[in-house]
Amino acid sequence: MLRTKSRTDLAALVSIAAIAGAVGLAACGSGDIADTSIPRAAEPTAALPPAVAPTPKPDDCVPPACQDFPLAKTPHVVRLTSSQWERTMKDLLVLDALPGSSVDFPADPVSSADRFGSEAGELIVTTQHWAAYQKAAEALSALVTGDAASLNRILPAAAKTGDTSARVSAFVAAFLPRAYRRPVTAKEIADVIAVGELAAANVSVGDPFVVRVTWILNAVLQSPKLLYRISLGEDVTKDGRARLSPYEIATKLSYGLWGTMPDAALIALVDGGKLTTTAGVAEVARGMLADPRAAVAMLDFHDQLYLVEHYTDVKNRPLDLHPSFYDTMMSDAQADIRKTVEELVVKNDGGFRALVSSPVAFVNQKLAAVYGIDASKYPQLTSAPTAFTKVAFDPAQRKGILMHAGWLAYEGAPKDPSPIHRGAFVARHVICSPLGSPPPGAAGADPSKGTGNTNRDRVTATTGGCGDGCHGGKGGVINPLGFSFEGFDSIGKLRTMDGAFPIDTTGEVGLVGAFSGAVPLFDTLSSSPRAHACYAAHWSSYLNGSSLVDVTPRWLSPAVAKSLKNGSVRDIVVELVQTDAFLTVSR
Amino acid sequence: MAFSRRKFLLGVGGAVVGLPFFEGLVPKNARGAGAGPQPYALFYRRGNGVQQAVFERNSYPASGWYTPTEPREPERWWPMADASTPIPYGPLATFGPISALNELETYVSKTTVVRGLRHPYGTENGHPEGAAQGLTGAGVLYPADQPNFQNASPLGESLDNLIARQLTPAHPESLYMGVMTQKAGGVSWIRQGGSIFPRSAEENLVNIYNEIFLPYATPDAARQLLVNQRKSVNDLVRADITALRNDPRMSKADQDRLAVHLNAIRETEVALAACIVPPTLQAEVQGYNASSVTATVDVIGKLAALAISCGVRRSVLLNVGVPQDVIQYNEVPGAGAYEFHAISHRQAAENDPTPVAAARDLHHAIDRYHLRRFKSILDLLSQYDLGGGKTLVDLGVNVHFSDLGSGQHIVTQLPYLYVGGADGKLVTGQYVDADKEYLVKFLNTIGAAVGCTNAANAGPLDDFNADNNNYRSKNYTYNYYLSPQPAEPADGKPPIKGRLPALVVA
Repeated sequence: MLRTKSRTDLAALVSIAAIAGAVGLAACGSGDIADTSIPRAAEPTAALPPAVAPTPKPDDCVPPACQDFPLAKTPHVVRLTSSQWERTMKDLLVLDALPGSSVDFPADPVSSADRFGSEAGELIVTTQHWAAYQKAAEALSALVTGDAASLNRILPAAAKTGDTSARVSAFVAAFLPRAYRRPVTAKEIADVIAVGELAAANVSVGDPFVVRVTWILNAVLQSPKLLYRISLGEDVTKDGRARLSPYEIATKLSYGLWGTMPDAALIALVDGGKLTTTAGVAEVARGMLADPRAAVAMLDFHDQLYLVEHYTDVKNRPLDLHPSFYDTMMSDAQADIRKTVEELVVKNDGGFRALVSSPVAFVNQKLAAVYGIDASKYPQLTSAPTAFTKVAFDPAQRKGILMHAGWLAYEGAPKDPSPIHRGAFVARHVICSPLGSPPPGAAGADPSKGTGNTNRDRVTATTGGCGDGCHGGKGGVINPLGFSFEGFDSIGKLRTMDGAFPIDTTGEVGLVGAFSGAVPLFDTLSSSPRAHACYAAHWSSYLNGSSLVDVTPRWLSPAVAKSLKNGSVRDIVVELVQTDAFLTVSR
Repeated sequence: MAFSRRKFLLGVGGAVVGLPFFEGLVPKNARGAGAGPQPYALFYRRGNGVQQAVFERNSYPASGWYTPTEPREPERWWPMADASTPIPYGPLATFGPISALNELETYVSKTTVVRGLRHPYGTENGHPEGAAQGLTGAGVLYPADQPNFQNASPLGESLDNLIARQLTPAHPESLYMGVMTQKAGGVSWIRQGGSIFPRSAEENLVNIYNEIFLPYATPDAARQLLVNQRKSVNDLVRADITALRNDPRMSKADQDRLAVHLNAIRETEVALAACIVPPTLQAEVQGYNASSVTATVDVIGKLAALAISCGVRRSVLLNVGVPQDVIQYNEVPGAGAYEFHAISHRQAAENDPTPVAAARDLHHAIDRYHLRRFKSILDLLSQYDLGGGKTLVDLGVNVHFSDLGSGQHIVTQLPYLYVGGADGKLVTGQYVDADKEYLVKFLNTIGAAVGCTNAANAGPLDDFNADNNNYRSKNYTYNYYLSPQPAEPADGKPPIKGRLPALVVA
């Protein structure tokens, strides 16, 4: 789900110990990740697969998404993130802009370089949160009721004139269902009106209606029914699951796709029974994804997936080695990837294949120099050097998001590229290959101090002691995948030589096959069911608010199949919102 | 009309500069109206370890005890008679001029320096793991049990919150303030049911002021209106959350999260004891220079001291920096050009490993700088005279620590010290050898001294986080700095229990 992010300043350390921690240097082993015996309550771990997977059914799935597992335990109350809260306040109170009050909220959890997604369990209300919510609610209620025009925007016609008591009742009857995102009970209305009466008893000056509404607004804005997304499910259960109510589905769709509360049109669809069937959910989701607001989720998802927020952690590179690096390169590189994602999947309805194989990029004059783009082909780079211009790489040399400078530089070391970082990322987030844990002594190693003529040689020497099944050797994934990017230096410039020696980008990984360079690798991955499944699994995690990314559940198959057939991001999401993983909660 | 020293002071153009914080602005006869100060704990946490001889830039030993490959750095943390002569364990008359601790020289008789504490198992991956253990003494949990320095959380709550939960139930979370923490979690953790949740420090000191002290400082009518309005909201919210928690469809984890919310409401409710707030304090919290660590700690110190003296808080945590402190200490000559984390690794920048020769001395200077900040808080607390030669410092225990030993992430030789004996419960004026003792025993000792009890409520605290404080990730394969290696635990057993007898007044 959408999350507010902030710079973590846990930038990758140069020391190899930090590298080991960040990406699992020398991550040997089979990659078993299931260990549910850790003695601490944590809902997400319940989703981990059993040690012995059942035999897949061969005919109705796309491997690897062919396993039948029980669905994960789900939370039933999930606090709004700061960005969700901001958008909700804007929409609920019909403000002209986001209120900005969340600047005082404690930061929401962010995905790190080694994790995707967030957990409901991390979204709590601490003392600091509550004090900030209290302050924000008091300020916003006073702001809205302190200006007649602002107040008028949230009043139904019946609340604009007449008896104070009747006006208050009319206001609450209209406002409360919007705030709680569902129909409300008579008791809920009475409870809130009672707060207004307390206001009247305490405040003797001012318009009695405004006095009441101020306190009522203040109370509603602090209600757990607003601050949490509540998913209790309907009464009927099957196999330990209950289907979300239509209003709960609308809320999950709205926050998942738009980052905010359902609007009146969506609620009208719910009222009309549209979300009572899975087909109806798909139709509604398709419509929501066609709405410009869906760009919020599509951009936020890829920001998290490709670690875009972290790029500006890279402050400098040795200019003697990388003279093209400049102060604002990484913020420019962020803009490049964000604009590219927008171009590919928001404006042009692309999917995973486009993301890993499109030569499109957006550059200004300085970034174009890093890419080695011929500026004479793009006059705008000269006439408007700071503006971003759409360009195309030579697809034989560079294509796909992971060959843009931002990611390449972020997953690089100051002097040499970091095949370990790059390879581990591809393993974890492109093909969802589980990595094991570092072996004894791994933390003492530093590739830059290894022996060898090239970066590849030094990394190989440094990680050689790991043996098979890790960096290299039989079954190794990190090094081969990382070495495929050796054609890009540590700020993402193309190169053919590593010092005086030619680079070697060849490799072979069991899940992928043999390749020579990142372009051929991603040509293969663009048609790989596993890579498509990995991408769909990340979306599932995002939509369901989990950090667990699993490519094996059978219910993922329809989305994988769609993606393999050049389905768009929107197509994948529509498939995922029809699954029980999205539509049900655990009991 | 009776003479009012306070009104007199206010009448002089508000000029109170130079007057002691408490003596000048809190008439003694006002203190008795509230709960008054009780034994308390104040924790000052700073990151990146300290400059001590154990540091070596290139060493991450694969096994065994630390085997130096470079000349040792000079010892300038632990008490030193001169540059090469350590002060022996035992009574402390001085910290010596070499040690950074010299900054606390005026408090030497009230201080105990504890050397040799260690975390249960290695944290060589990085800072968040040290931070996770620094006040918990608990094991470290990784996602899917995979060691990962960016995703480490403890398996137990932190002591600041245990103290608050047990001793000030109306405020079950510590008063947690931060300086340039970027709202990051990692140091303070709360337990709710079976779950552990991170807290982030409050950096907006106006919020702290408003939460704790504003109602003292506002006119009665306005204060009462605010109280009434917040009560109306809190009553409604509390009822709604309680109903949600009681819904049978909620899981235990759902209920725990909502319980945290309920506690937060209780924490922020206006529950005021009589307390006189210096009239200049509001202006100070609104106008201090937030880019200055010195100025920020100064204001934090005043808020902390006042909260303790008023008896509204008994657990205060001050954290400077994110777990991996990247502050550029502009107020330390020469240090402003580098992030502290780079200095602690003796290099130029996060991603520039070029050695910096001055970094060793800069780290030492930053150690001294933090101790001066810590001392500034002690100086404030010292102004509150309890009579009999005792001050507020003596009533509580004021702990200064870093959760790593040195800049190279070592988890032994953790630099912990305390000032003040918790109303006579702890020995002071001592240099104590706690060689290879678990940190959690130190935490048990501190908690027990201020009045915390064990899980069975059958005696002073001696089993802090014992359900998991010996847990080691099954996949954690790094060797430890101890030789021989400690016995490998099995799922947190046996638990680490007990206090450090050398610190307890017999």
